[in-house]
Amino acid sequence: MNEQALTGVINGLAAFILLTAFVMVSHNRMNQLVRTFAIQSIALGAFAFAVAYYTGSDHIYVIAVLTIVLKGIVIPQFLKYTIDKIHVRKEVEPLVGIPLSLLLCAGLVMVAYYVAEPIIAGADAVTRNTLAISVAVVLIGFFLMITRRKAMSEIIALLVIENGIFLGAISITYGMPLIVEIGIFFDVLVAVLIMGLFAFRINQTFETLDTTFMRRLKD
Amino acid sequence: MSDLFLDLTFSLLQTLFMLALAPLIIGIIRKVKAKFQRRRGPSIIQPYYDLAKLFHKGSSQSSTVSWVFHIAPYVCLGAVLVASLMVPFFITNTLGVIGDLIVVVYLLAMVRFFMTLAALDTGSAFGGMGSSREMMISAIVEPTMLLAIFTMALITGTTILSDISFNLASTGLDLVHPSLFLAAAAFFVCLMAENARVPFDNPATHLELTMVHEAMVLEYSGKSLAIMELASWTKLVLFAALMANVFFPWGIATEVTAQAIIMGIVAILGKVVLIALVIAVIESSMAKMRLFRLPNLLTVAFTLALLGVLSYYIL
Amino acid sequence: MSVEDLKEIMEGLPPAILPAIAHWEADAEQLTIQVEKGALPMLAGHLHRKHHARLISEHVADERREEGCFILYLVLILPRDKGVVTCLAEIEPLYGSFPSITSEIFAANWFEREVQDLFGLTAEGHPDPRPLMLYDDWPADRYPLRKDFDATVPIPRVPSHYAFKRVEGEGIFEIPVGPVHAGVIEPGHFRFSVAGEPIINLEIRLGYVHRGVEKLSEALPYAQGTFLAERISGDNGYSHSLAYCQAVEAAAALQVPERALFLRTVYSEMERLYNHMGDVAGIVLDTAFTPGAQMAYLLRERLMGLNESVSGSRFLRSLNCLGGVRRDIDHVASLRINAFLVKAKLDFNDFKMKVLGMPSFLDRTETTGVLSLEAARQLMVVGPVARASGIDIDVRRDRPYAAYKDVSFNVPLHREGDVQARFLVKCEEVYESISIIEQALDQIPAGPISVHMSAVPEMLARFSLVESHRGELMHWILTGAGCPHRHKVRDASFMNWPALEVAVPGNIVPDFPLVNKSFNLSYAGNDL
Repeated sequence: MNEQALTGVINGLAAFILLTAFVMVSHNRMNQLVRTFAIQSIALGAFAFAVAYYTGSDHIYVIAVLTIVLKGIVIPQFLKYTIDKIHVRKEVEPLVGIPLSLLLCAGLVMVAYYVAEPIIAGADAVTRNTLAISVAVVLIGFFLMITRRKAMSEIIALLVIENGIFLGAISITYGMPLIVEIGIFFDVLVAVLIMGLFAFRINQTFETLDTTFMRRLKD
Repeated sequence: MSDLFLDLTFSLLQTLFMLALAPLIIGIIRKVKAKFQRRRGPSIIQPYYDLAKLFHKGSSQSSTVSWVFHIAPYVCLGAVLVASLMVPFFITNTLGVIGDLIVVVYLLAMVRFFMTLAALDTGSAFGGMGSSREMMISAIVEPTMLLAIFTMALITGTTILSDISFNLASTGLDLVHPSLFLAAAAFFVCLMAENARVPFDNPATHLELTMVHEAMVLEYSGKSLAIMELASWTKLVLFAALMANVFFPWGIATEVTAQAIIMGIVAILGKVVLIALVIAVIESSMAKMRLFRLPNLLTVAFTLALLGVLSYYIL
Repeated sequence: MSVEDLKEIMEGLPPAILPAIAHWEADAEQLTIQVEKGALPMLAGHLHRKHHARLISEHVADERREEGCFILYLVLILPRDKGVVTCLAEIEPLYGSFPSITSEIFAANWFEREVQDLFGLTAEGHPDPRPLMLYDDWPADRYPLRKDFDATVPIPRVPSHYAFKRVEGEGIFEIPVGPVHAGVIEPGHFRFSVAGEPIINLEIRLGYVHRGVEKLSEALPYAQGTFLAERISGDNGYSHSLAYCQAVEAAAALQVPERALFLRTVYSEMERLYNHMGDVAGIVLDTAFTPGAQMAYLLRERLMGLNESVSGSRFLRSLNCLGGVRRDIDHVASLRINAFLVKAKLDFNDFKMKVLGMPSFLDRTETTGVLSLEAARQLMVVGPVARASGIDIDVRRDRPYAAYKDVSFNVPLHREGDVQARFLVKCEEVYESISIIEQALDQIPAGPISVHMSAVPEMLARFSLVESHRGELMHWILTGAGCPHRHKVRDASFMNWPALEVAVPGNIVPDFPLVNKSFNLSYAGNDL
């Protein structure tokens, strides 16, 4: 495959990842959120594959496989299991309406582009352009976390942020050393498990996953 | 001079082609939907029979109607046909000189305008409801559609539709950009919304209270209903042609040779039928949205189109 | 409930009512109180507030020839079958009026308007005394249920005007829909007052298919009455004829053979099954998810085929007779039913999974057309509509008839009161119905399927409640010579129509058909 086509594929996948982030903003059902997150993670894995093919470095292949297996399959399955267990199906009305959220997120993309531009100018990696997208995905993840009320959506928002950071890491440096990456994967997996358990406990104790009710803890 | 003559001939040919094809595409969509519903479904050429039947029927109308109601079918069909003159179908030779994409988008807006006027003209409660809903939807669809096509104009550097097709088709894959897919996705949502398909509207319903498009043509009968129907069916094909030739024009004839034209006809037929299939599959796999949820979906489309423009600069 | 408990109710009456009570008696079945009409509202209010009595029916019988007056019957049921209380009051033909109890029990609203229309007796103090049942152009001085009304004489038409409630304000406009609708729907007029899309008020005008069923029944021998009852409302015809038979059998003190009771249970549930299938399909269809709806419609069609192969009629017609049933289910047929139901259950599972797994369907049905528990209690709604709003009533469990006391089943209950809750209640009832049929076929005893009808004594009032797929329906019969002296029919729809008027406002216009479908009310059953 020639370089130009490969760049096209890489850019296309990056755009697709951004697209899934937007789609997540428009969802208010848990299982939709989880499904789109799984799709996003698989796209991220494909992105890593493309970068690995381009750079020819073996450890990125490993990371790509890990991404698809862990974030694309294992974590979504676990989240789905938790959702079924605690019967949380739907986000209550988000704090910001969906149309407005989407427009705000489009604004965040512009901010990300503005922030990333000086860095891009100095970089020479084939993936340099996707840095702005990774920043955008991180920002959208933050936005999701702020505007959603259910603990489950916040967990997914955290995972979106993680995906964004991962995308950024691959974009600028073609990935960190393998041992670091594996460490991060392990961290994420454990974090999700613990948070899932927490969500389960919160639900049992308060009979709701709405974190606004957690204020009761203060009393 | 001969170039212009050629463009004119092909424009007229393509417009006639779209007009003739429109009922068939509707027939295909209905047939596929019937299959999903485990029905046998009517023959795919049934819409032609329906048109023929309607043209032979007398027509009755509300006593309050004015001239707007009478001319609306002709204006709608006329505007759609004029728009088709500027949209490439199987060959990129069209009357690009008379107007670019903005003209096409606003000719389609004119169709909508007259349809809503005619619906209001009848004085029926359903007509008014349909009009207000249509306007609510189109308020977001129109900018989305413009942005989506503008993205393509950015990529190809021209606002003339046939030139967009020509530039993309003749340069191979070099112009392909992620923006294209974002814009195409946005445009597809517009296609569904503008042509009153599920999840925006249910073309198969008999429930007046839920209708959008159908409520507006509720008072038409006989010949004028036939013309209204033909106009909206042709509009669907026109949108399918835009989708096929502005975003994925590969296969379209870019030169006037018999071989290229045959290739072009086969390609566009394949693409339009594919789009019809996709529409049928989508309509068969989801419920209609609640009316006030529609802006959510439309804003997603708008944001997609916006992202298309943004990512053209970012990536 | 025992006689003592009913007597206790008598003792607990407030002293102000006591002087107005002319006569009372209690047996194991019911408590009958004859009271002066002036004390009716107080008595009804007391029973409703203190004992949570639910209104089953309020109707009048023309007993001028026998007793010299009209008699108003108020049938109330105590929750969880703690007994039935019937209040009687004489209405002198001279004054022609009775005090309205609508201010005490709101659900009496339509009953009293109906009495006004059909008997020409005025409900004094009724908050909304407009006509309800008769056509707009019916002459003002003809009262069809009076005994001196000759049904063979053509009625002259007089022009008149029905005054709808008007909502006024800036930007409010009215949408009239019907009575003739697109599609194959019964006639009914809906008058919406809307502010843009949100519905401010809905007024429903029915009565377009009033056929004079009750009048007709007064001229039909008992044996033929089952056929008339079957035709009251097409899709729950079996339930209607069952209720009619049970009422007449009760009057004749006839013991129906065991096997017939089990067969009646099976047929009742088969009727519920195919109708629920149609209902859930209709709800899904109105969300424009046609392929999903088609799955349930297919099942419905197959169930109706099963009905035909078992009973000879797709709609389970002509199966009941006084004293039993006409058609047996033999061993082969019962095996066929069982085999079919196993498969139907799996197919229905597929349907349910597919529909409930679809976010766009859930989005559409959640929080749409909410009937609050409060409103449902006030209007005393019945059937799946009540159970979806959190009212735990089911005649089959609370007041078992046929063989329902011999089978075990759950009564599905939801609290949300929205379209989705009604959808889920119906879905869950499908499984219960399948289980009931299986149990009934398993336990069915051998023996005759009908006994010879004995003579029906005259001037005996008996009623019967049956849980049709729409909910509790009632047939009340005052026996006469060879045919009913007065036959009062109350379909479940009659109780549930007013609830639709309450559930719809606040929704948007395009959601109305969906809400309407989830109530699935019968026009013919309401109009009679």
